[in-house]
Amino acid sequence: MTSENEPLLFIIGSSHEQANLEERETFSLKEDEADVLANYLMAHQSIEECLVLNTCNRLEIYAVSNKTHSINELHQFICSHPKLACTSFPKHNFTKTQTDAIEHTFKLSSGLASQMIGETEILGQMKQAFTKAKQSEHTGKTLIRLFEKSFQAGKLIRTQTEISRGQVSIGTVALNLANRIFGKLEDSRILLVGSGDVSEKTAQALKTKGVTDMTVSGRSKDKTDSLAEKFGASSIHFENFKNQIQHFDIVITSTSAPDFIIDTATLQKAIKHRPNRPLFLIDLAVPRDIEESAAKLENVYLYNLDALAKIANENIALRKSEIAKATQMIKAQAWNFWLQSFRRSMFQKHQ
Amino acid sequence: MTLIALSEKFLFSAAAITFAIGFLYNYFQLKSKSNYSHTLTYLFLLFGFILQSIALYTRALVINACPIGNTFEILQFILWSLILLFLLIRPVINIKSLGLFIIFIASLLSAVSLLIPSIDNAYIHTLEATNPFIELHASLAVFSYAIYMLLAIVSSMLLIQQWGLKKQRFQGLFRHLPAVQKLDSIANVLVWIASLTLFVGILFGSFYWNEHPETVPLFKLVLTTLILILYCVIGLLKRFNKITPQKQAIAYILIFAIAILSLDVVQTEKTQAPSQTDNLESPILE
Repeated sequence: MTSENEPLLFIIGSSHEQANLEERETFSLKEDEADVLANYLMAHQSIEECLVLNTCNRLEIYAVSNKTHSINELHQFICSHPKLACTSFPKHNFTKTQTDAIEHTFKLSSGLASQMIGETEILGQMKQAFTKAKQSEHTGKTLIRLFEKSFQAGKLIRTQTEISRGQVSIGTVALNLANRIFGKLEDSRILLVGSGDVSEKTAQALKTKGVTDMTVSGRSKDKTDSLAEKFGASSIHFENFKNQIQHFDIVITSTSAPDFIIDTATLQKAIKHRPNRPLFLIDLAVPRDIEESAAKLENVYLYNLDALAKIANENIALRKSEIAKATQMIKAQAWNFWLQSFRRSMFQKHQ
Repeated sequence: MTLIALSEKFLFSAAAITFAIGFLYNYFQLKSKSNYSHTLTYLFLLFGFILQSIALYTRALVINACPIGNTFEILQFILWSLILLFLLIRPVINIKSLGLFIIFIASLLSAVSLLIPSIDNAYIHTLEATNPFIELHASLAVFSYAIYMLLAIVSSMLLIQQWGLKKQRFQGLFRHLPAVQKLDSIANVLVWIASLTLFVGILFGSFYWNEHPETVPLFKLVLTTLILILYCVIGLLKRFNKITPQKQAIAYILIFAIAILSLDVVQTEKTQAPSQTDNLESPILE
């Protein structure tokens, strides 16, 4: 059921389903780089609307085309963007059009397409991306309707199914792992590297678990100090934290640094000072902050975002029936939305 | 073969079957449901332990002495001590999954000791069990080996937990294992308790050997002392942060394997060289 004057809604993107962490790192864009990409897309004569959803787990381009170019040509155009051409994006991506694209958007807003199924953070990230695109006047009636409906669908699915109940957060998984290594978490010394949102949420989770010995280190002194103050933690200079690693049991990193901030040699040195105590490293950053080869060091346990999500999803079997229920609801919602859009376009055509 | 000897073999077999059923039941529970009953494991161990205690008592009646005269009896006695130790310290160390490992070892060792008839060879008990030093020495030596066995089990648990964490395995058995640090702390305590027990055992033996120097079983004494020294060296290296928990665990397992495998060699050496000690009960681990 398509009409010729009907615009083409499409999504070209890549997430944890198409690319692993190493591959995702290559096309992890900074905020300003995502803005440049959006402007680049809008400059194309065929693209009427566009929105770039750029999170640590996905880069997705939502766009509406006037059909002067085929989807393959648009795909090529997007993949040839200077920031994407030399990455894994052209190799590991998906393309969804029309109803499939609607269904995907609804799935995403309800947390079903997330790496940790049922999580709620994606809804906030979608809202943020939508607001930005709207402010930049990159959105039109199709994307506005799609995103507004997807937010409603996301809320509806979360309230009518148990998809988010018993949700295991990254923080909870990390804390459970720490329990498997150290036993009592209350006695462990924790270093948080990075002072952004992720660090704040992690600090919150640690605090609720009774952790008292927390230290924060970040590039921005003001942010670091305010985070430390908020959670009753101490702070150390970003330049000095590497020399202090041996004093900590758990190191959680979540910076936006483009390269590793902790290399294997640094950890090798640190572990020499504490042969009796293991070192637990949690790397929540994309691109990763800790060199992967550090995992091979004796007495060092390194977990990144993919590993933590895998553990969290091991409990998903318990919610399988809820996933099926939510998927059915999404299909119905997407179909309704499509029918409404089709009727509107037909109405406009005959006016 | 007398009726009493037959019933003793039957009891040893019944204990082994109880351990095996207990282990297999829990193993399949763990495989299918990712969970198992700690209480049931405890009950199987307790029932098997009662059967084994009666079997050892019956054997003691047959030989008219403490049944630690050949490799079979020593294995059974070490196993019995290990289970007793577990039943006693279980509430203190609070490691529920330890029961599963103990019941596995109990099944394995019971099966091995029963399936190799040659290790249950007949021996002449020429020395009456009247010398208190020798009896105390033998009991302490066997008990120390049981603690060393527990140490080897705890070390295996530590290595499995470490492997699971490195390879990111979290289901099944890995879910039930205690923290790496806890296992490490327990190993650090056990090594000194076991070594002290063995040292005191050798010390009591030496009181007897001092009076009867011709009875000193040199090979056994050297081997046992060497094992004691090895354990102490590893314990000290760990104490002074010179080795990691992983290396320590591997070392403890290897030393215990050497100790257990040398049991039969030691017994063979004893039966091949009767000479002066033939009329005396051999002190170490007997």
